[in-house]
Amino acid sequence: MEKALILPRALALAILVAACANAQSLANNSNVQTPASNTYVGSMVCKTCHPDVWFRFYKNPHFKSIAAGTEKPEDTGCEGCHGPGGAHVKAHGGKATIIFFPRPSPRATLDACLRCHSETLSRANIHRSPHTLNNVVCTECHSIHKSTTPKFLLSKAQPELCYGCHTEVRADFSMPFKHRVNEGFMACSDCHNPHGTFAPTWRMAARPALVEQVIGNEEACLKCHIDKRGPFTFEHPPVRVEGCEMCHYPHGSSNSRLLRRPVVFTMCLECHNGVGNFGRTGTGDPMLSPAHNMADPRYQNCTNCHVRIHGSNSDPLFLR
Amino acid sequence: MRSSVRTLRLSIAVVLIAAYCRAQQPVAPTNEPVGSTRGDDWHGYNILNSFETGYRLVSVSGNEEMYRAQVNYANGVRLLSSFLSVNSKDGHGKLFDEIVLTTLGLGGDPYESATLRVQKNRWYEYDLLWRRSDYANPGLTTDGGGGEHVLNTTYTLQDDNLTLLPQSHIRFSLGYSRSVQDGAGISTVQLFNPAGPFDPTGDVFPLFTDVKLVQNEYRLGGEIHWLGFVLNVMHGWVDFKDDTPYQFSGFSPGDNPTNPTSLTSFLRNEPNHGTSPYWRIGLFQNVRLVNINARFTYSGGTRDFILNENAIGTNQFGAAANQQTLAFGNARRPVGTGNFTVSVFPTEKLTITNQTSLYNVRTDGNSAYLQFDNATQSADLLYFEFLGIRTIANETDAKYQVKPWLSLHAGYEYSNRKIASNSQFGFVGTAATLPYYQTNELNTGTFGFNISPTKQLKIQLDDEIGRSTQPFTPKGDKNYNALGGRITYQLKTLKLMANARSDYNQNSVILSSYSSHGRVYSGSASWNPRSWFGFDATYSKSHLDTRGGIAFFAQSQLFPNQVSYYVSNLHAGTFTGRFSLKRADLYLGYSIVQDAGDGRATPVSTIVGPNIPAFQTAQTFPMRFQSPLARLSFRISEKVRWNVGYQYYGYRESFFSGENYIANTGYTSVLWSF
Repeated sequence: MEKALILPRALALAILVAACANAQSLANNSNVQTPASNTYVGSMVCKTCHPDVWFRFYKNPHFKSIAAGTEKPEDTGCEGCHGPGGAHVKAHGGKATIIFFPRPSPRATLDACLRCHSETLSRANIHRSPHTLNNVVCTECHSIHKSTTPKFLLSKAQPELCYGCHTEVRADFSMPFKHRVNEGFMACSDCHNPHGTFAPTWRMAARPALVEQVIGNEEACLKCHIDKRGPFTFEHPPVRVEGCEMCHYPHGSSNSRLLRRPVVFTMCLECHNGVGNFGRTGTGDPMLSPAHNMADPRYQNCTNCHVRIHGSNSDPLFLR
Repeated sequence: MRSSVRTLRLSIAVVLIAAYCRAQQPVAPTNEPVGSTRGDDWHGYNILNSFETGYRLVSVSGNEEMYRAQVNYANGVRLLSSFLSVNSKDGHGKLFDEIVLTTLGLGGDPYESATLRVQKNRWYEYDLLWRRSDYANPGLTTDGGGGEHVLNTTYTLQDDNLTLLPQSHIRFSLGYSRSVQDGAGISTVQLFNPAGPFDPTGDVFPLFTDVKLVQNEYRLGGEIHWLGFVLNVMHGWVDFKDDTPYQFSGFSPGDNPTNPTSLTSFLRNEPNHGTSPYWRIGLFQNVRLVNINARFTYSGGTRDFILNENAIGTNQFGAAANQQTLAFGNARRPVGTGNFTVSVFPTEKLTITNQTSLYNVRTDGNSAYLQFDNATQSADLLYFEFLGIRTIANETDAKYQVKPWLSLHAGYEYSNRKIASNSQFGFVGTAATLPYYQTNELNTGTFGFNISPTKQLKIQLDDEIGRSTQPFTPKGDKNYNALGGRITYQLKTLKLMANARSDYNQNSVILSSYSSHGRVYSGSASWNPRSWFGFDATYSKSHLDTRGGIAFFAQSQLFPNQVSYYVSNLHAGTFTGRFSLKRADLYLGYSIVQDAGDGRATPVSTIVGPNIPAFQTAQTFPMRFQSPLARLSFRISEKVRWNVGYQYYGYRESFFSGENYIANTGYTSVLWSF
């Protein structure tokens, strides 16, 4: 019993020690630098000169801080992001007297938003996100005052927002076979987390970039394609090890079923050639038996027999 | 004051322009705005709404199945889109402060969706996302024939999320998600194999299926903000089941014309149900110079199944065949992950992030498989498989802002993946074999920079180089280099962009090698000089050539050391333009995708690879898919618009004409707000 309590006690002690050690720095948590002599004036004062921003601000999620009436001045309304407005009012405006966006450096913009928006799993990887590393920070995609979307304050609706930089992806979704993103049925963020993702549980290294994991730390594909999810007694190992994109293009393809090749058999044969130290036994992916006459069209559509190619409950050759 | 009004008008114009400029999308619904952007006030709430109702017209000539797989719009009355927002003006509504409801394509479009958000400040937030898609797919016949699997199903997806006390230090969340796929399909089965259940010389027969797949997920979670820490805990349960039956009655001679095998009756019931409970825990702390977060997840997964199949027909000798197959068992897959991330900010200019990740999955199962053939032959086998994957990775990224106009970033990652696999295939009582272990080590380096020589110009380059010791498949990443660059120039309403990206992978072993060269070049131009005029144009060229070592049998002869060769040269272009003249808005668009292939004029060509026609035609797949559109929207009054649009779809393969089609689609609708 005593042993069972050691771990929770140690954890609680570690949290308390760390919390005490950081108590001082928490008080100065804001990365937004403001003059010490500046004062907070409240959002109603800002309204006087900025009615264009104020007239629709009640639809903005940040309006909650004003409506609550219980937040600290530095966390409330306009001054929550722009800092104290006393000097700005005294100087009758001017960009030099208030925190103005975009900030001089991408890091400053990021810090300003993360002051409130960092502590969530969806943004846990934002500092290592390819977007952040390439200076694509919050205000590149979010427009606090001129958003066209009611949720997430995006500067443009998806997918146009993403296509703005990823022109090659726009081409993918123009293919004959594609996920229905342009049709409005899906959005880029159904599969991607633009704020960065944890290390993928399929393939290795950092690629594919920004693909969100779903339920059981699996590829985003399996959220909708539930029949491919398993667990199967007989898994097709590449599905689990390398991921769906081993055989499929996730965005769009000129080939049916988003396949990487116009025919199935070349795709299968490129792995099942029996050589090298590949495969689950390190002796090469098993090649086809002599009974498979590849000159006969009957054998050229592999999945006609191997119907459960993603995994089977009853058959190691995926025939049932 | 005048300045403020001008700013107000300008901001509205910017919002409208942003809403106008869209990628090539289906001609309907209409994107032009209707009604006042300010909405109407009512009892302390502001209300904005719009509805678009109309009729779709479709005419298809050619392969209608291919049209259904690629486009799928049909005739009929639709609620093409709707939008409703109700916002409390002071943030103190009685039951709610915000309602946002949007719908798309309701009433029969193949892509229908609805979103709903209801929230009351400080008390609750509720989000609903509902989607339904008609998923039609013909057989895999891009090679001119052979595919027999057809799906004509519907996907229905729903996500509900409720957060209680969203602004407090203790929050609760509840969620429910449901995924359903149902409808008709055609599958195949291989039967009456003369040399046992896994002899590939039997015959293949088509089957009818009634697809019934359901997955329900329930979530319960909480979040605590305490002493500078945030602890987030989520517990969920995923229940899934597949009750798809397979059947056939009548007479089927099978796919093999030289084999007298036939099928007269077939029935397979294969219910399999499973559950996957999971935990997800996140811990965060954000202090001035250090940002720490940790995540731990665990998901169990079990599936129980049983298969009962009965087939009656004749075997290859013409004798009556009556085959029954039974299989039952279960599969398990527990998955655990852990991530620990530390970001430090030693100076204003430097950010260093390190993440250590652990991933562990173990899949195993048992299946008892019994097959009886005319009560004379029987097999009683037990199969067992195990697949375990454990990956440990450590990644460090650093970013340094040298100057406001120059930043550099670099990273290094080490990954170690161990795979244990045991594939036993034997009779009951056979001793288990030892699993085979393999380890792959991957070392990856990344580098990149961003330069902004002027305020309007941005140049970006990044590169990733990786070396792995034992990839799992011949096509997996081994020695690869992914290099990309982008130049963006933006001056007021003009935006120009050029993008280039290459991805080379070389995976060589003795007797077989695989190489892949992918290069993408793209450019875009967007110019919106006036509120009544603007255009967007994009072009992309994607080149891919792959050479994979293959070995196979043809007419009992082994063809070793062969090459599978594939070349694709895809050109894609889009153009959209909009013009507004008083009451009328004209929107024009054009999209084209063309694969020029490897330039050959005939499908069979002996460029490289096996001297078998099917292999030669598989080396390239030239095709064209284009879709011009035009839409005219008349503003009848401030709150009413009348719209009419036309969109053409043309699909043409260069070497096979059986799948080509032409579709003329159109719509007319009324868009109004009240």
